[in-house]
Parts: sequence; structure tokens; C-alpha cells
Amino acid sequence: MAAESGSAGFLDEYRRERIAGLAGRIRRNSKAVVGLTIIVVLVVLAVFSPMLISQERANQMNVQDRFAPPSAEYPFGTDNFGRDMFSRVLLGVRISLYIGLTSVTIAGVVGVPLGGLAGYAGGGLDDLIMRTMDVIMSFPPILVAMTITAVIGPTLTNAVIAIGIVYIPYFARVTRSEVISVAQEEFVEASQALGERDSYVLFREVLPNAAAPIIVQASISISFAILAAAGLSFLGLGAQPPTPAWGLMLQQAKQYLAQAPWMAIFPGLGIATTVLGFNLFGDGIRDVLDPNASAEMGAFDE
Amino acid sequence: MSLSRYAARRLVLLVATLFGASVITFVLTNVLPGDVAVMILGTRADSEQIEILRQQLGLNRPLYVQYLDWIAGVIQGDLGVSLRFGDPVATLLAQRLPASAFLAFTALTIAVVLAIPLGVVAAIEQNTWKDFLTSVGAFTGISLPNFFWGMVLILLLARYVPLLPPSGYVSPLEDPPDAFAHVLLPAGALGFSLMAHLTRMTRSSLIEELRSGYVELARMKGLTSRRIVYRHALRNAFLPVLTVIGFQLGYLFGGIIVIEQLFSYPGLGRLAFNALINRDVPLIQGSVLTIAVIFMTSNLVVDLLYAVLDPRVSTGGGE
Repeated sequence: MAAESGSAGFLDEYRRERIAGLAGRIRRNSKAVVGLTIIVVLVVLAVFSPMLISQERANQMNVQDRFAPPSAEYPFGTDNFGRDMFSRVLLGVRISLYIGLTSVTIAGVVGVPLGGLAGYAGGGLDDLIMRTMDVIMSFPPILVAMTITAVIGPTLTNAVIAIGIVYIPYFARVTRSEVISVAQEEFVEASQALGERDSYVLFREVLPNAAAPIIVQASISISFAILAAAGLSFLGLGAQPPTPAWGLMLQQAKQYLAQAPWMAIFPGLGIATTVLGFNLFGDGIRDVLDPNASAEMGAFDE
Repeated sequence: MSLSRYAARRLVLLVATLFGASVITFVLTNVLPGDVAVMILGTRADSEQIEILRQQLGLNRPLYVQYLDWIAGVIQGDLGVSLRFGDPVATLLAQRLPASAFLAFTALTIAVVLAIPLGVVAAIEQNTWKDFLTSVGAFTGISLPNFFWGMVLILLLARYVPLLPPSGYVSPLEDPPDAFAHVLLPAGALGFSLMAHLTRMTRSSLIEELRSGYVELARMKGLTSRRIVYRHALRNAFLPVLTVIGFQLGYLFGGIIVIEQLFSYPGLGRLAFNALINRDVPLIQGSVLTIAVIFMTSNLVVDLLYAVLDPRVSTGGGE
């Protein structure tokens, strides 16, 4: 056991140095910085918006003010029920982040261990796991998400679960290939030579060192999840009225496009900003990790 | 591994994966809430009638027997009969398939035809206002859902300036000009984000090619810039571009569902979506499986094309 703490101490120091170096390079990457700034602003809005705007105000129908264009009273105008678009769009930040973070957490919690196991164990288990992933990936993602939502019922939470399931294979793939390359490193061999259990080596030594590409995948997947959830809500398979979800607002705006374009513009801006933030952040991190990787590979690789 | 062996191996894998896909499709549609027999007879039917119909339809048999029965039919081209339309599912799919193929093909063409010149300009005139504008455009294209672009196109080109019809489909075999007029808006919306991805990829891979040794050599030999870009660099930059097209196929085929709904376009996506809403189980199974087959086959074509263009893929021993 003394050997274990010794090797862990050395590795911790090695890891800390690597992370410190990485943080410095991320700070110098403008895409990562802009992306991170957008994300931080959105998180602040998501945390504080419910204190500034009440759910009642967002759902309050002022019939005499239907389709009011943007003004001092209604900065983003009103919708077909006379509801204040500003309040609704702002409350949508929270929903959007909930969608992105929850579905990616589901995909990661299942996909990362599966991919890690496949890459580390190899052989028959690898084949079994990865061929199963291939089957899930043989459908366009939104089609599977749509069918799953139809099965478990059209609610926002179910849409989030469906999107999470759909994205499991992408995490499994990224993790597997990274684990295969990390597992060949000397410190992993050393730890195996010390007689550590396989589960310890995989979860404590290999996976933490395979984290970077997984973080990139997560950031880009959040953008995908938000777009996919918007699509599901647009089809009526996601958020249900009167939830102030951006995808649903776009669906409602569809009929009144010529009359009240602001009903579509502001939720659209919300989606664009959020997706852009996570995309830029993921892109920037990837540039930092692998300067040779082309700027585009893997982005939205649905 | 030779190219033909690589292709054969991929084909076997494709069949195996499709088999798995058929199991998933069948299981998912069988756990859909609602009883098919009740769906046919209506909720007012008495339980005895429902039981008789369940017996006739073979719904009381174990699930695996029902699956084997279904897949045996599928292999022979018999996908069952739609509960809603009363027509064979295969006939319905065959009717809708050309419309979707036309839409997807037009979207892909629009994306490639616009993205490559844009990417080339951005790469050659790197860090100028042209490059900046292209980048901003590309990022905006990637950051919004395709149906948002669809709504923008409808608003601009069908409402404000009524140039194109906002919905519907005309077969390109019957009236080509009218067919293109109908397909342009949905195809534009569907192809927009693909175009954005392709523009960025073309730009970044061309920049990389232009920095490499052979371009330097070509310059020293006195070749014109135009010739270097179009005859040499762009050719090599095309491989990563092809990868992006491969990655984006899922988005394209998935996008069809939403876009066809928005433009009331009578294709496969709309058929699948309506089948799902109506719980038309045989039609859901048939259309979902068909979309999977087309999606996987297109993926295989892209991979094989890649292997032809870059021999390292097939000789390097696989994935």
C-alpha cells in the first residue's frame, strides 16, 4: 500500500503540472476565452433570472398587448397571448442549460465507462460494446430521440433523456480511442506492474488522463443537445406549453412570422448565443490540446 | 488489406449492424404505448372483438416469434400494411422516397457548391474582412437549428418578397423548373449548417495544405497561385472535407424530419413523423428502418470514397 500512495503522489504532481500548463494555453486561446465568457454569463443569468423575473410575469397574458413590438415596456415585444417575451426568453436560459447539461451528463455517465471498458479490456468485450454502439449510431440521432420520446411520453425531461441516450455512443467512441492510447503510456504499465487492480488502473490512472478529449466532446455535445431539444420541441415532442423553452417559442412563432418576427428572433438569438458559446469553448480547447487537429473535425459529428 | 477486401468487410459489418437496427426498431415500436388492435377497432370496441383481432394479427404470440415473422417479411420486401392508410408500407415508402432523395440531394449540392468557393476565398485571403465575414457567417450557420433558417427563408423569400412557394412538392420528372422552385427553400434550410461546416473545413484544410512543402516547391517552379490552389492544394484538402460530409449525413437525414414538417413537404421524414404521432406501428417500423438503411449506406459510400482517395485507410488495417 505504501507503493500505491507513492506512485499516486508522483502522478498527482505530474497531473497538476500538466493542468497548470494547459490552463495557461487555454487563457491565450481567444475562441476558448470568448466561449467560456459566454458560458459564464449564461450561467449567471440562469442562476439569477428567477429572482429578477417571476414565472407569473412570464406566463401572464395581457390580451390588449398582443403582438406588441419591442418597446421600453416590453424590450423583446409580446407574443400571441400578450406575454412578455423578455421574461420568457430570459427564463429560457435556465431551461436551455438544463437540457444541455443533463443530457450530456446522461450520455457521459454511461458512455465514458463503456468506452473505457471497451478500450481497456479489448477483445470480445470491446467488440460487444462497440458493435452495440454502432447499432445505435445506425439511425440519425433525432430519429431515435423522436421514437424514444414517443415511447416514454412527450415531455421536456423525456426529450432530455432521449437525447442523452442517443449521444452515449459518441462518448464511448471518444473515450475508447483515448483510453487505448493512454493505456500504452509508461505510468500505466508501472501501475499494472505494481499489481494494482484493473478497475483501479482504468478509473484512477487511465481515465483521468483521457479526460481532455472527453471534455471537448462534452462541450460540443451540449450544443448538439440544445439544437436537438429545440427540434423535438418544435415537433411537439419536447417541452409543452406554457414552458418558456426556446424551441417551443420558435414553434409558436411559426404562424405569426410576418406579423410578429420578434417572436422568433429573440428565442433564436438565445439558442444561437448558447450553442455558439459551447461550440467556441469546445473548439478552443481542442485547438489547445492538439494544434494539428483541423478546426472542424468532429464538431456536431452527429 | 486490399480495397475490395476492405469494402467486403465493411459490407458484412453493415448487414450485421442493420440486423441490430431492426431489433431495436421492432422492440421500440412494440413498447410504444397503445394497443394496435384497439387502434384499428377504436376505443369503443368490446374486449371480445379486440381479443379476436389480436389473435388474428398474431399479437398474442411471444415477441421473438413476432419479430422473426416481421423480419422474414422485411427480407422479402413485405413491410406489412399501414394501419392508417390501409396500403402496403412498401408502396407508401416508395412513393415518398423520391421526394426526400430530391430534397437531400439538392441540399447537399447547394452546400458543396457554395461552401468550397467560400472556403477557398477565406483561406487565400486569410485574416481579411472577407475571411472574417465568412467565419462569422459559418459560426452563425452552425449555431442555429435548421428550422430557424427555414422560417427565415419562408419569411424573406416567400412572404416579404414572394419569389418561391413556402410549401409543397412537385416531381422533378414532371415539371423541373417548378420542382426546383418548390425544393429550394427547404433544401436551403437543410443545407445551411452543412454549408457552414464545409466552409470552415475547406478553409482550415486548405490553409494547412498551402503551408506544406509541395506548395512551396510548386511556387518555386513558377506555377500560378490559381493553378496551385485548384489543381493541387484543393485536391488534397478535399479529404477532410469529405470526412465532414460523412459526419454531417446524420444531421442531414435527421434534419429532413423537421424540415419536411415545416415546409409540408411530402417525404419520408414527414411520413415517419406522422406514423409516430398516429401510432401506425407497421409504418413506423418500415420508415425508421428505411431511413437507417439509407443513412448507413450513405455512410458506407463516403467511407469507401475516402478509402479510394486515401489508400492509407484500407491498407492501414481498419478503423
